[in-house]
This record gives sequence, structure tokens and C-alpha cells, in this order.
Amino acid sequence: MKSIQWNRYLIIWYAIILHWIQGTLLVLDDSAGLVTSTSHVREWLNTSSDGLGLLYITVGSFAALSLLLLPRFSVFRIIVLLPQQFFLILAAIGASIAILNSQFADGVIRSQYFIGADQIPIVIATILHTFALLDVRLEMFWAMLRRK
Amino acid sequence: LISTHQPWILWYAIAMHLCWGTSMLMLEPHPLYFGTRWFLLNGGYQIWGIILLVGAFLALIGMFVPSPIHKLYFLIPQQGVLIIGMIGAIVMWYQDLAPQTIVVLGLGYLIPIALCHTLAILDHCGIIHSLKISFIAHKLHSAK
Repeated sequence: MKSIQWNRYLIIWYAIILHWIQGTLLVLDDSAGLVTSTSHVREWLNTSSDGLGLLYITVGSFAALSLLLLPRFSVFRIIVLLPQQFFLILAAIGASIAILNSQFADGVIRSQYFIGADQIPIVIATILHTFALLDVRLEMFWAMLRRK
Repeated sequence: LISTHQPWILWYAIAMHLCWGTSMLMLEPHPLYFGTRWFLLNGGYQIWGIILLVGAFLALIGMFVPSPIHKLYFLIPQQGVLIIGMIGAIVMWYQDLAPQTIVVLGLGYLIPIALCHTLAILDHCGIIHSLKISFIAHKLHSAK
């Protein structure tokens, strides 16, 4: 039974949808910038909620264009996916800081288990998004070897 | 592991449920906000922790079972738990006292996960492949 190739891209699509939702909310409502997963990123990039929202929508759109339009074995496909990986890593670092400090970005203090349970999805998504990118990269590598 | 076109979203759900299940067992004495997404069993943290862990372990077995139909049996409990989570997120959107933006940012991701997980199961268990073959066979048959 041969699986359809897009299955492994679903985690990338998930990240795209997440960035679009987060981006739209950040543009619509400034209070979205106070949520733990976005607060640290906003602080590090020194940008407003609107700015970060637009950035999220842009990187999500780049990733979607990469999957939809760029050829399967093109290096540009990876390059255009990298900004999304970068923003996921920033969000994951922010989430990890919250877990380690036992404190949400808005100052609420909870146990590490509690914050861990709340913030772990973004950390796992970042790790598996990396794996999916490596998967795409390896596919290109194997295809190149086969051609030789 | 990486070079075999893994359905990463299924691994994502497994890892998440393992973490959530463990956390729920640890959090049991403290009925905190995190558990509210599992609104169907109000306050039953330990039971939900065990359900999440069982769903994740069954899905983990399902990833290594060769038969597509058995894969489906093992992955369905996790899909069920995700759908409950998704319904919980939607209910929270209407019921929670927190601003709706915060609720969507906090819980909204459960909806794309449940949808992507459904697609991944359909593909991973060969259902989409079978449907495509039936469709092509039907086309060929009609052409004759």
C-alpha cells in the first residue's frame, strides 16, 4: 500500500493554519499579543501586535505558496519554508521559558506541569516541523542520487 | 525515521496526548483552567489522563502495525479524543469568561489538529488510496 506523499506535509499545513489564525487575531485585537506563545516573540522582535500579526500571516503564506507552487525537488521550497521554521522556534523558546519560570507571559504563576501541558503543543509542533523539513530535504537528496 | 515520509501530524498528536495525559495525572489535586477543555468529564482529571494515555499508546502501536485496517482500529481512539478536544474548544469559545481572542489563541489549535489528524488517518490507513483506485476503476468501467 503506497501512502500519498502529502501526508507528511500535514504538520506544515497545521503550522500554516496556526500562523494564519494567530496573525489574524494579532491584527484584530492587541490583547492577543499578551498571550504567552506570542508575547516573547513580540518582545524579541520589538514589534507591535499588528506588525507581528502581519509577519505571521506573511510567513504562513510563504510556506503555503512553497507547498502549492514550487516544484517538489527545488531547493527554494526549503528556503521559502524556513521563515515559518524560524518563527516556530521563537515561539517554542518563549513557551519553554514560560515552562521553566512557571509563569505565563501575563505574570500568572502556575505549576510547571500546568504551564507545560498548556504550552507543550507549540514545542512539539516545532520539533516535528523540523523533522518534516528534513524529510523534504532528504527526499530531494535521494532523488538527486537516483538521477546520478 | 526521518527519511520514510512519516505522517508527522499523527506523531504530533501522540506526543501531545502523552504529555497531556501525564500532566493531568500530576495535576489531579488542582482543578485548574487547563482541564476545562475536557468539559465532558468535569473534574475527572485522573480518568481523562488515563484515557489520553491509553489513546496515545494505542495510536503508537497503530503506527507500527502493518495491516491498514488494524492501523485504523488503533488510531481511532486518538481521533475520538481529538474530536472531543475540538468540541471542548468550540464550547469554551462560547462559555469562557476570558476574552474570545485569548480563548481562540489558547485552544483554537485543537481544531486544525483534529482536521489534519482525520486526513492523516484516511491517508495512512490507505482509505484515500482505496477510494482513488475505486474511482479510477469506476471511470474505466464507465468508459467501456
